[in-house]
Amino acid sequence: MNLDFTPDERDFRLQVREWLRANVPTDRRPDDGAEMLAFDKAWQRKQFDDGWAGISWPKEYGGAGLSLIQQLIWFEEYALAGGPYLGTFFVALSHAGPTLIARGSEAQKAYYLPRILKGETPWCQGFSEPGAGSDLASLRTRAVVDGDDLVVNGSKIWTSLANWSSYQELLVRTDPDSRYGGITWVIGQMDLPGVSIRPISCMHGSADFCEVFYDDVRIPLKNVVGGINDGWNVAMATLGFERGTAALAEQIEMSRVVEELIALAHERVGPDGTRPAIQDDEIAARLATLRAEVAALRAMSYASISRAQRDLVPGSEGTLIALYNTETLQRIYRMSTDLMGPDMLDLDASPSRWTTQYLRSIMQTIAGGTSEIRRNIIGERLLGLPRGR
Amino acid sequence: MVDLVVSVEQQQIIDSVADYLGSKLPVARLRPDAKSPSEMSLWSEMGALGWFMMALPESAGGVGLGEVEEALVFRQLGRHLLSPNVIASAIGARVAAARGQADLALAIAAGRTRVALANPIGPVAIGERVDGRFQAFDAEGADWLLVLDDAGSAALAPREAIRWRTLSSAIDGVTLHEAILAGARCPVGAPATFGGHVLLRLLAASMLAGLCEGARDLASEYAKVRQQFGQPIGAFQAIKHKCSDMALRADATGALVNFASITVAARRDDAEFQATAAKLLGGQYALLSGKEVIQVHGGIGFTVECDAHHFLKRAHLYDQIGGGVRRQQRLLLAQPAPEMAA
Repeated sequence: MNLDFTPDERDFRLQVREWLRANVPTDRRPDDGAEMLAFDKAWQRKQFDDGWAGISWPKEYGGAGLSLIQQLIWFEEYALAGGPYLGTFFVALSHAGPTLIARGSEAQKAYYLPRILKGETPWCQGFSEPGAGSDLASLRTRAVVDGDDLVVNGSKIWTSLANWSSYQELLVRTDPDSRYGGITWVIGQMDLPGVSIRPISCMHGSADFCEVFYDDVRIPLKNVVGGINDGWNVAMATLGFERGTAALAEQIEMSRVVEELIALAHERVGPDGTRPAIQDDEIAARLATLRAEVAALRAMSYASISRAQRDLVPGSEGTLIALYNTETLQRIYRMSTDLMGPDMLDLDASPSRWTTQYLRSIMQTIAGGTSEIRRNIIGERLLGLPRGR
Repeated sequence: MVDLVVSVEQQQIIDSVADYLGSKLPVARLRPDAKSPSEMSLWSEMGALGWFMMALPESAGGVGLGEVEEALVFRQLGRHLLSPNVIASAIGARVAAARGQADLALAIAAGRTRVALANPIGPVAIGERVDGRFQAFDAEGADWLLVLDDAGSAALAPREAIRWRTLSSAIDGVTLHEAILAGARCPVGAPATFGGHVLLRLLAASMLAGLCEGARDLASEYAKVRQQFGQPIGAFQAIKHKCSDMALRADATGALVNFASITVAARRDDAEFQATAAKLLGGQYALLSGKEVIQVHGGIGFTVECDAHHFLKRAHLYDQIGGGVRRQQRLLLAQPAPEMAA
C-alpha cells in the first residue's frame, strides 16, 4: 500500500493548481434560474477549451484520456481552489457520461460525450416514479416499439434539474411481464413533443426538483443504451459512478467545512453565553469526531479508486461510502446549527448560509438511494444476510 | 503510486497470522470451560513468528518491513482479542533499539523477554527517572513495564523499580495492576522525538479495527442461522441494519488505519493527526459494535456461553490505551489540520 504520487502526477497537480487558481470563477454561482444554467455552461466550456474537461474520459470523445488518479488529483485541487458545484452538469459528468463510456454504442459516445464536455448539454436522471421510489424495479412508465421509435407514456418524479436539462437517463418498462428483465435504459431528449415538466419546490428553497410527464413521446430506437430489456443491468453496472471520483470533491469540501466549523467554534460564543463554543465539551467532542470521520471517508475513497484502478470487480464499497458520506454530511451541518444558536433562524446571519445548507443536507439520505435501502444492500450483498419479504 | 489495496505479499502475511490465531488462539479460548491456553504461554512462539519485530530492521534481527505491515498484523491480533501487551512488545523493542540496546530489543521482539503495557492515570513525568501512577495490563511475569506519555517519550521500567498493587480486573482473561513509579530509574528510555504516542495510537487503532471486523462477523453469522418468526433474524431490517452499520464502522476504521499506517511509515507531517483520528474513530466504533454484537445475539448474548461480551469488554480495554475517546477527541482537536493535498 502506498500514498505516494509519481513525479508525473505531482507535476500534473501543479499544473492543475495553477490553472484553477487563474480560472476558477470569482463570482458566486447563482443558486437558481437561467443565470445558474448560463454560469454552469460557461464554466464547463472554459474547462473544455483549456483541455481540463473529462480528465479520465477517452480522448476520442473530447476527454483528456488520463488516469483515475489524475482525475482524483483534479477533484482534490478543484475543491481546494473553491471550484463551483458541478450543478446542472453533475449527472452528465458523474453518471450519464460514465454510463455511455461503459455501455453506449460508438455512435452514442461520439455524439453525446463531447457535447457534455463542451458544456452544451446538462443531463438529468429519470429513474424514480410516483409508484417506484426505493422499489425502483417496479417502475411502470411504458415504452412500446413502433417502427423505429419507442413510444413512451407515463411519468417520472423527483427528477432534479429536469427543467434545465437537455437529456435524460430514462428507464422505461418495455416488458410488463418481467420485473428486472423488462426495463430499458434510453436517452430521452427533454424538448421532444409530449414531454412536460412540473417543478416542485423543496424545503430548502430550490424549485429544481421536478415531475416529468410523457404523453406519446416518440424516442428513436437508436437512443437505447445496451439493448431493449437490458436497462436494469445498464443502470446497476454504473450505479457506482454516481459516487466515483466526484465523491472526492464532495469529501474535500466536507473537510474544508469541518475546519470552517472549528474556526467558527473558536469565534462564536458557546451555549453558556460567555466562553467560546469550542470550550463546550459536547461541541468539541462532536467536532473532533467529524474531523476523524471525514478523514476516514477520504481513506475509503482512496481505497475505492485503488480498486477501480486495478480493475477489481466493484464490491459494495460504493454503497458503504455513499451511506457514510451522506450521514456524515448531515452531522456536519447539524453541528453548524448548534454553533449558530438562535442565529440559525436568520437565513442571512452568515455568508456561509449554514441554515440553507443544513436544510439541503436533509435530502441527502433520501435522494439517490435512501439510507435504509443502502443498509439493505450492505447487509445482503456484503454480509450475505437473507433478503426480507 | 497511490494504492490502498493490500498487496499479494501483505495478504500472505495477513493469512498466515489469521491461520495461526484461528487454530491456536480462537476467541473461544476466553470461555470459562476452555481448554486452549492463553496467549501468555505462547508469547515466545508469537515472537518467533515475527509479529513484534515487523518494523525492526533486518540488520537488528527484525523482519525489516514497516508500520504498514505491522498495522495489518495487529488488526488480526485485535480481531482475536489479544492482550494489549502485543503493543508493549512491539514498541518496547523499538525503545530498546533506540537506546542502542540491541540484545534487549531482540529479546523483547522475539518474545523471550516480556513487557507489559501501562496506561498513565493522571500526570506523569517520563525521562531518565519516571514519576507517576499507572495501570498495567497482564503484568504478571513481565520483566519490564512500558510507559508512554502524550508527547512521544517512552521508557521501559524494570519490574523491581515499581510498587505494585493488584486490582480487580473487569476484563475476562486480563489481569490489572496499579503500578506506582516514584523517581524510578529507567535507563532504557527514549525522548519525545521517538514518537511513541503515534505508534501507540496507530497500533491500538489497528486492534480496534480488527475488533470491529470480528464483532461484525460474529453478529452477521449468527443473524443467518438464528430463526425467529419462521425466518433467520438477519432477514429483518431491524437486525440487518445493525449488521450493516457494524460493516460500515469496520470499513471506515480499517481504511483510516491503513491510511494512517502509511503516513506513520513515511514519517509524514500528518502522521500524528491520522493516527489520532484512527484511534478516536476506532474507540468510538468498537464500543458501538461491541454493544451491538451482544444485542443481535439476544438472550444468549449476555451470557458467558457466548463470545459476544468479550468484544465489548476488550473494546473498552483497547479504547483506554493511550486514553479513551474523549481524550482522543481533545488530542485530535489540538492537532493542526493536515494539508489536504500532500
